[in-house]
Amino acid sequence: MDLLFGAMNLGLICTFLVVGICLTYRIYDFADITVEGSFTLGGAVTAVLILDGIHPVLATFFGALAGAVSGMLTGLIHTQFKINGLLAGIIVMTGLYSINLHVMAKSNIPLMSLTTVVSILNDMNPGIHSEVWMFMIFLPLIALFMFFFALFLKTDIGLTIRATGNNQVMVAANGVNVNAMKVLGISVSNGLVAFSGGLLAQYQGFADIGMGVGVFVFGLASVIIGEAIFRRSQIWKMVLGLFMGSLIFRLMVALALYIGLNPIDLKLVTAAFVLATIIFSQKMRTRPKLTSKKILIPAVIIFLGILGIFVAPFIKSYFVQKHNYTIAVVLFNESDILVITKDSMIKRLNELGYHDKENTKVIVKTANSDMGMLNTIIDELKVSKPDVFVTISSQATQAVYNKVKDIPVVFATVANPFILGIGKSDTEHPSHVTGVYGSFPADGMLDIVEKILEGTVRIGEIWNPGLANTVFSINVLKNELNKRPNFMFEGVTVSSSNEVLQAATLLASKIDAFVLVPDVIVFEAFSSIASTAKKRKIPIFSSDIEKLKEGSFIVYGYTYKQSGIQAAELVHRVLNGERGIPFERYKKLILGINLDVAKELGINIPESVLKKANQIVENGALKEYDMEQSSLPLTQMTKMRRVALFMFTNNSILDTTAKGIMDELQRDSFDKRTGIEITELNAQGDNTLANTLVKKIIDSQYDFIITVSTLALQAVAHNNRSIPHVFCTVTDPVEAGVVKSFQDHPHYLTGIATPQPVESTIKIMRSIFPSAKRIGIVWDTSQVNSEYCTKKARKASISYGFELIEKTVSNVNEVDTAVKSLISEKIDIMFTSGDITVISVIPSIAKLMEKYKIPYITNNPADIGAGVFGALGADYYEVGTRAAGMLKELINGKKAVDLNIENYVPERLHINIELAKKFGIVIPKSILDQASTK
Amino acid sequence: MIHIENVSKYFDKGTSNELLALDNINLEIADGEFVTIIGTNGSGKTTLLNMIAGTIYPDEGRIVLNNTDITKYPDYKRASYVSRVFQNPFSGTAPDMTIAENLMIAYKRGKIKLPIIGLNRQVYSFFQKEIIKLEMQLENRLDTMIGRLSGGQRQAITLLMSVLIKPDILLLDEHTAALDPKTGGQVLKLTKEFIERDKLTTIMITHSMQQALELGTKTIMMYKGRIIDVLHEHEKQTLTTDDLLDKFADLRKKEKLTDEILDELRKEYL
Repeated sequence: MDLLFGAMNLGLICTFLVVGICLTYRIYDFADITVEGSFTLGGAVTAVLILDGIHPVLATFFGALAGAVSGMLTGLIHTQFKINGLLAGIIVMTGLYSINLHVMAKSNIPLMSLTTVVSILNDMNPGIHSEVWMFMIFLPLIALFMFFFALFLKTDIGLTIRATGNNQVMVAANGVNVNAMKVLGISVSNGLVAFSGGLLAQYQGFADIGMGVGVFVFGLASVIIGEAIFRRSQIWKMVLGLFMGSLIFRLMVALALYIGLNPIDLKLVTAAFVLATIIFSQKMRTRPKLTSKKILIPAVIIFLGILGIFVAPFIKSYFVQKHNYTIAVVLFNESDILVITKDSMIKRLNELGYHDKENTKVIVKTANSDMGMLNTIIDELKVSKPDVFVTISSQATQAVYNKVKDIPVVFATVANPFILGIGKSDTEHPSHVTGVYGSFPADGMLDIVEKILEGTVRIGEIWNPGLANTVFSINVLKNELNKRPNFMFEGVTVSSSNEVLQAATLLASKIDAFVLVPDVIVFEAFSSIASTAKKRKIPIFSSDIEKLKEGSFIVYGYTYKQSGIQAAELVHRVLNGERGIPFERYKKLILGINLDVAKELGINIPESVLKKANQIVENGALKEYDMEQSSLPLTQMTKMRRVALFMFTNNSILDTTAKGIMDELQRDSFDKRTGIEITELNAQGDNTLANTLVKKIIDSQYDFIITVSTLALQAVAHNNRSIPHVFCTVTDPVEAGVVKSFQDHPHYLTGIATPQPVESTIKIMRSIFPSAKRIGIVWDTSQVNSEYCTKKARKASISYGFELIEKTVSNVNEVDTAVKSLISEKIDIMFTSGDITVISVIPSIAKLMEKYKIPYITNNPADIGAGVFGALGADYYEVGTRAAGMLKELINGKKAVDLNIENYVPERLHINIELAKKFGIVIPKSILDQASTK
Repeated sequence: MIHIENVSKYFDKGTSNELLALDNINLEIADGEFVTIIGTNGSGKTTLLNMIAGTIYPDEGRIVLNNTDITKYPDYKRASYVSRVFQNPFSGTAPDMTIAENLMIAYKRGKIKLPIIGLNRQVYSFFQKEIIKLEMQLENRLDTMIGRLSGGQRQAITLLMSVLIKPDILLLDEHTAALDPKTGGQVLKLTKEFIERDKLTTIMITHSMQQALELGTKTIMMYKGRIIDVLHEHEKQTLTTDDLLDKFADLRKKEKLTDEILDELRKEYL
């Protein structure tokens, strides 16, 4: 019931959005992205006005008006400055983000305890199920609106608006100011969209800065569904189509989630759906006679879909085995802190005897930061009739609290439930709700700062005002600072992680210490703050306890594990029938001190502070004291250590190395015995992706890294400052700029260098081809490695009496031309050494060389399979096993700093005898004896 | 009464492609006059028409309509005085709207549009009465989407729309050129009837010398942005198309027209 009617109510509310989008996109043929901003603006203005005590109906109206003004802006930019409509929309949408934040003054406004249009309707509810009641009210109201909208399109001005979209030349000739009409239409459209936003805020019980994300395509999908049902032939049908489209789209989303579609895929599926329908309807336009089929097919799908919603619960309950308890867990997104909370909660539940899939069913759903989806997820979860809802994050808590009245709710990782409108104090709150919360311990943190730094302390703060929890923490901090005259506050706000470095640099000249409140955006870029702080010798006091080893001086804060543990214990009590359980604060605070940083800064830490520390970092090692986290006993988890095997791309050398590594690590079940888990990450030759992957490796705190290839080494070395790292299949790490020498390397970094045996190769060329003169080589100038090989080849060529003909390229597409120009210059031998760009196309070069009967020599034995004449090179499988051997030593407790980098070239010569015969070349016996395979 | 005084227009002024599209044009058209314009491609006839319609503005000179200087008026503002029929039969109507709705747009030409339903029964039957004159059996199809009609039907409706409310000046830009001869003749016949009925001041660009001579009270010949000759009604009656071509031939001597241009004229007009 909840899922079905909840989805339909969302659909009804979104009708205005759909009509707005149809107005611009269909009638004006203008994709107006402004809606993503004006939708939020409508919600924001409505929420703020309701908060100020304005009547909700009036507030919603003003919200729509604000949306109309923003639309007008887009229209004016588009028509007056002749800026492309899409661009104009993007500009206004971007600007609106800031405006919305200003309007709301925070990122989220709860409306739950206030009088809203929805609460007024609910008060009139004669006792019907609330979603059904809402539907009964909304349906006629919105049907009435649609009736008037259709009527409007038939008025003189409505006709003019439609004609403007249909034929601009014609309306201009008939005295219509096309620009004015466009501005009017876009304004009306955004007004409707904002109206939708205002209603949604009241329906879901809060306005949020992110509520507009993705609404354009979702709205468009509804428009398109509507058109699939009814041709746009008549106004009445068009309007009815929009109405149905909005409803059906929401029902389809609900259905998709219900049958188990991963919410992460929802946007992809929607995008594909919109694309497919647009292409389909374009095809239909050219063959307009197939109308009956066109109506029939979607109709059947829709019918089955709706049927599915009704039938699915029965089927599901029939097949799914009965569990004693069902626990529904809702996360707003998959950010680290929420996932940590969830994982530790599930672990603790396990210890308390709730085993998932045995006596308990734990359903975890993530909304991917999407408000609409959050609501749908909740409706969907209600269908499974859980015994308790666990909400992790403020947004999830708020949404569930608003929708769930009869099932117990336990929240966790919430800064302050009271600003969300849930209860008044730890003991005064609805009895079905309980949970665990805690915000930034400003008083304790400032106490510590005071004890360590003397005199007046100027503290610097970086935060994102778009995060409700952060803003709350900042307020707590500021309140605390007001009581302490010896502190001065300097703050810089950011809206994304990219701005953090700049903010830190800006602050550094003005402050004595960084004091960082919880802020997921800022902590994502913690390394920028750490590097700035290190340069300027400023201590960092961090609330994120995970950042102790990454350059913080002091960490002081809650652990989100604790949040999960306490939540699990509350769930246990709730399942045992307790109600009205008081809210809890986090019980455990962690104080961590990094003595290495203290030494660098030259700060002495008073004994009184040292004594309280739970974590101390000294000489790069972390020691933990008194880590018992709960009053109830915990079993010790054997810690899985994770190894990241990072590759930049795939080619025969790198793949062979990787195989060597994996085989060695798995030999005699080493990985299982030592509890390591190896994850292979491959950047597929993409620099940006490589960076993202490296960031992921570092953020998710892998215990070890092993890289294959120079580029992989460079990408990791550039970002990594602490994780033990072994590299291999690298020509020269000194040349690559990651180490000073084989002995002097960062304490966490070591590995093996495998220079291409360029000199021996050229020497062998001389013995096989006594009369050859010219060696051709193609190399990519952007690769350090390749430059190194080419330099060596130049030298060796002179020593053995060859002339080296070089052709340079900058990407793989140029290789073919370069090779052909070498052929035209009559080279006697073609040579490829350690150049990744060229290596990737060795098979095609080999084919070309065979055609022109030019012997092709490379430095990778595996190339024989690709058709080269000969190869002298390291056996990269052995290189891989050797590197893995080094990694094993680290896993067994050795430090990277104690393992020197070594050169390791297990040389192997391979000759392609068949080709030699074909070319009529006789290989000297002495060489043949050297060759390991023929 | 329309005065065009010393009007010049450059395209791509200041670039290497600079083109003098209209070169100091002076023209006076009295009320009720029916002027036809002939000329080669690029002679400036359509530019002159667009100038009067207001879709482009002159670089020099001014345009005065009934003693009002309308030089600076944008097209939609001039629409209360000027109505247009385009060469492309699809330009004058909105395809996704019904015949009646299209007529309604024309019915409100140059007037303020309000959020009221102006297309009531009375207006609807007025449209029905008007559309009978097209003799195309459209009187019972007023609710058909225009997009479903043929090019000739759409052009006829565009013509009806342009005279539905009497304009001070009617501009016809080769409006039968894109139609097949039969429908073209039908639309031309309607054009004559409407012009005679309402005594409309009309400027018509044509591609046919025959049409130019048969229709209208005055014929203007244009070449390279200039009016090179004006033929009055009494002259026109005695002239043949060959005479017109000879006129161009005479010009050849004076204006150093090349034989190719003469050929071009022959091809275009015979």
